[in-house]
Amino acid sequence: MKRTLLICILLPLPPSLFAGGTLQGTLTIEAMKPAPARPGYVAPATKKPVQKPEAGRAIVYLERDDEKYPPPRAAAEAVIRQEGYQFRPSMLAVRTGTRVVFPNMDDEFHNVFSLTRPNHFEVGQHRKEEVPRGQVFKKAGVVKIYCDIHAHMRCFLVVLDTPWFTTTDAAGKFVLKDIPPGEYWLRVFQPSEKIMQQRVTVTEGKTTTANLSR
Amino acid sequence: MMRLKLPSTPALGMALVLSMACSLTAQSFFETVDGWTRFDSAEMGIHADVSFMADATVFAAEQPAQGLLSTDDRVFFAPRLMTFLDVQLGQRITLHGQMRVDRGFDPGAARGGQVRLDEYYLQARLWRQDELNVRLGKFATAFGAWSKRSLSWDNPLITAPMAYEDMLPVSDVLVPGGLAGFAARRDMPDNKAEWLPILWGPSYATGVSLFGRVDMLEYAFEMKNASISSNPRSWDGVQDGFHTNPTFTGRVGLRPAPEWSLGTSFSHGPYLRDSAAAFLPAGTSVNDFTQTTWGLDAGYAHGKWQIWGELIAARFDVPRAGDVDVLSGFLEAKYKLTPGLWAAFRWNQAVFSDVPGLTTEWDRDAWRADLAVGYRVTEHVQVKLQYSVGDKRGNDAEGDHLGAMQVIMRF
Repeated sequence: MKRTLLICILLPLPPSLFAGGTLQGTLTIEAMKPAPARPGYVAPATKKPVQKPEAGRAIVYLERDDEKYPPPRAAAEAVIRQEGYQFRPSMLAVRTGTRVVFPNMDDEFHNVFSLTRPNHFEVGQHRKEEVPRGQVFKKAGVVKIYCDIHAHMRCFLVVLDTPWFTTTDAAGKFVLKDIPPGEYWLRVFQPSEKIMQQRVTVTEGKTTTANLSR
Repeated sequence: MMRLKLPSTPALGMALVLSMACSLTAQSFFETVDGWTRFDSAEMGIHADVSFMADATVFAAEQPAQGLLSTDDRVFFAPRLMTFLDVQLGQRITLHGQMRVDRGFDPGAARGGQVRLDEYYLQARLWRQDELNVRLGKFATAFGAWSKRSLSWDNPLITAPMAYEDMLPVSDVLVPGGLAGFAARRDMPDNKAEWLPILWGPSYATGVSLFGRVDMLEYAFEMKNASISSNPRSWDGVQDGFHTNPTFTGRVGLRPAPEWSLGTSFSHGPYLRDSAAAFLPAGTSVNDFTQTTWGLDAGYAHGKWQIWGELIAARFDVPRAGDVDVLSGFLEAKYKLTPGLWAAFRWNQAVFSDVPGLTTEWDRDAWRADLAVGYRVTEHVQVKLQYSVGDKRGNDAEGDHLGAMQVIMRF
């Protein structure tokens, strides 16, 4: 009973108050699959050249078996831009309840949408100067985001209950700091849409290294 | 063109539609196929992609059916498989081909089944980004704006606007013997094998096009082997050759803001086929009888709304009858109710001039309302339902009602 009470008291505390451990590692990033074909269209008709998509990065996150996590400190907001006829960033992780806004930085319309349930949404066609209403993602899961006008545009939004997540750099390196000590599932969402996982133990005041490979 | 035997009973059609609908969640299957049918070589600068679109459409029509539905069945099943080949050679050259297996270019035109190469062209970018391009082959007309959304995936409804499918009593092969014979045609049911609409669908005739865009201005000028009203049998310049003077078509468009798209189109050329030559008045040829068409198109989009409208005025020079005019237009709107669900509505109307020298119009003024709902189930599958009701003034020889259901998969 005392143990349960202690956890209940500690859970709302921000992770930075723990003298937690650090988890670092490197992984091989798998390439994003080519954009889905849009039959009948040789190439997207755009006023300006379509810029190259971002170099692939992966989302790394820690999950607990009991799925109990400290609540968010404040209403969070994230931004996914449409710029150069690409989503930037093309992969993003947010906590459940985060509002994501989708500003259009191009001179032409975009129409951001997702059919991934239960986080399906559609922003509607909007121009550069307009700031469309954001979308709050209330359920955890991977949300595949597209543009209804430019079929090559894709983005993965990973909505997580856990607060312990990060994005790798282009070389596949990651560091997660201030992790409360304990046993976790280390999971990686790859641009290829595959999820890798392994068991890790984080020790207080120490750095644990985990190198994932398939 | 090859003939096939495709399933024809409505029950089988419905079963196929339902089975397609049941496999809607096979997302990973579609993505896997999509991955298999690509070829990329950065070293050689080649990107090739074979993609597919499969439709299953069931029509239920009051007979004789409206538009270009060529069947006397009350329920008609029209499956279609479209295969697209897109090849990018370097930065400037593209190749495109579209092959269809179906029961005719228009549903029922080839009941037993048919394989056709409906579109194929070579395209080259001649100048900088997109200012000047040339296209050579068999491809959709530049006239108007509907052709750009004529594929089933892009069309918010199932059928085409009336201007693109309503048959008029003017023919590319039947030459009237005189004014009375021509005037009498308006009391007959539409002769879908031999009459013509103002524009026949996207009009995949053969020729050459120059097109591009400079800032907010876009343009396309093309020279083709057949008029925009011509029957699909006249489109293939490789199989059928070039028998008449060419048809010249152009469109100039303006995009003053992302919301707006405005355009004006023009087309002029002979519309009779060679086989009509023997029945023409002495001293005339098929090149003397032309179709001249003007069009205005406008589009507006914002938020969840998309609205399009076109107004088309056409003049046919009919042997032994003279010039006859038609003014046809439509207003179409699509509204997204949810991320997957939309509703669409289209109002079509056409009015006709009098037969020269008579006080009767050469066809009966008509209207048609099309209402549809659609649902995009996944990135690869969508379903549409449509109901159309229309009427022609006076002796209305066509059925007034049409219902249709369509399942579309692309991968």
